[in-house]
Amino acid sequence: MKKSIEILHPGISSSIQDSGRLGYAYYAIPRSGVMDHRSYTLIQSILQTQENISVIECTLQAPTLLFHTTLQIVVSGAEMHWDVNGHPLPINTLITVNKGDILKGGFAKSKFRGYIGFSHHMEVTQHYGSTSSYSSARFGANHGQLLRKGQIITFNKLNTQTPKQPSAIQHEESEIITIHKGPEYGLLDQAALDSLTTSPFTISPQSNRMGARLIGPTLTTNQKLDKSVPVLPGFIQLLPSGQLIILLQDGQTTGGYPRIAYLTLDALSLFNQIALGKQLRFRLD
Amino acid sequence: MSNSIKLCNTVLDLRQFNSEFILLSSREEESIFPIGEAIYQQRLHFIEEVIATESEICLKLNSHFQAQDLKELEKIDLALSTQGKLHSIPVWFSDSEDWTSIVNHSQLSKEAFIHQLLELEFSVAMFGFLPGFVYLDGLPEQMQIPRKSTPSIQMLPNTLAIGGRYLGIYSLPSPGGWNAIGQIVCHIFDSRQDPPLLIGYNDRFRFSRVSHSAYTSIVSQQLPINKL
Repeated sequence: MKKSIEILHPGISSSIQDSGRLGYAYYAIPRSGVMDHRSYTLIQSILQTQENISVIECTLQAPTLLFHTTLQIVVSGAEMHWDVNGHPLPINTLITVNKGDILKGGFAKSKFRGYIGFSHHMEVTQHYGSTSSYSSARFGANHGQLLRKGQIITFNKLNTQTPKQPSAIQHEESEIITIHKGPEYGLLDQAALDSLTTSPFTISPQSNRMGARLIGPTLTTNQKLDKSVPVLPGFIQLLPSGQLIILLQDGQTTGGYPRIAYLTLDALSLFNQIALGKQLRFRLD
Repeated sequence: MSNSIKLCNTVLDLRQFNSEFILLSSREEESIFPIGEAIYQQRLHFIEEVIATESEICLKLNSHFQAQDLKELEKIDLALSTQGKLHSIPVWFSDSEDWTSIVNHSQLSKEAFIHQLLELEFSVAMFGFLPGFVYLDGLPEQMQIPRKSTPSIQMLPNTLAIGGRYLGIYSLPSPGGWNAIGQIVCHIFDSRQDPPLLIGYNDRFRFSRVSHSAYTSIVSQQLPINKL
């Protein structure tokens, strides 16, 4: 019998992701993939694999899974009060879950997104070499759709075990996000520059995997772009309203707003773990 | 870091942003989008993504990038051809509510607008925005219609629409701020194919008019553009 799990409760915005769909931004296909690469890399190192493994990513609330067969798993990212049959489960630890066991969790206590990695290879649909769910184009696992109650996920072979240097376990959580000067940084006036690096911002609930809208001071600029230009995940755009938007993993590949700053993938991983409504600040590198 | 680089016989400004990405931009009015195609086709080992627009090309670097790799960019000397395939695409000009503002802006009746459109030939300006979205060049000024201030909730797949100076094709259903004029009978994007876009960067396009009933019967065959 095939190894499998059943989704008893999907949690919030739970989807299957891997490290992303690279090389197709030329055709406006975003990279997608996990929102927190730091947690993903940590899962890989605990599972001793360098494969582009598929994981379950959940947001704010953990899913509930019934194991139809025995598998080894790691939970990482946000601390979500994970338990197996009621016994508390530590994050970032390899654990064997037996046939008939139920893994569940609650709401994220710290951070925002949780991850479940598995010892075996998930059997899900791929597009362009990636299982990352991307709903706009129905790409990846579940044809881009979120996990559903009652869904069965099957597994086949064991992930290829490659001895991997254990990466330091990072419980790091930061409300200070490092940014770098973007292509149109020069369009900001002094007052706007001061606001950007001294004012607190919060992430608007009107955010999704394409982009995070920030709530904060109005940054004025007297110029706008007259053409569409390339954008990448992590770019900070200044909207005509003076508000900021950070493009995320499923973001579009071209845009018409000034790109005042950008985050590296590492900084974006930290940013993507900040809960909605929580204050953050930017540090310009 | 700011610099210049010559590739495909064109001098471009080069700005490097740490080891993250490089922006190449044009010094002239002429579009550099074809140069993006030339770079993308090389599949250079230090480049993770290429995104090309008319005025700028972004090269997302990966961890293999080293400063001397820029020399590999300079070696690119693709003879870029402006002559791709000429496609003739049947369109059903729908009763989209956006025709009201198109008629208002252009001061042309719907019939006159369609008549003029069918006389025109379009070329690819760039790819971008969403998978399968294509920006086409070739609208005369009178037929350029500003984007809507409030985007439509859902554009249908394979919608032909006008946004500013471009004619655009929405391959996927998505919210859209462009003015829909009709539906093309075929698709230009296929996620079972690699590359996913079934048209070339240098292809040209003309449009023909079909009735709603002809549209319905052709569209039911789900034809890709190359099987029309």
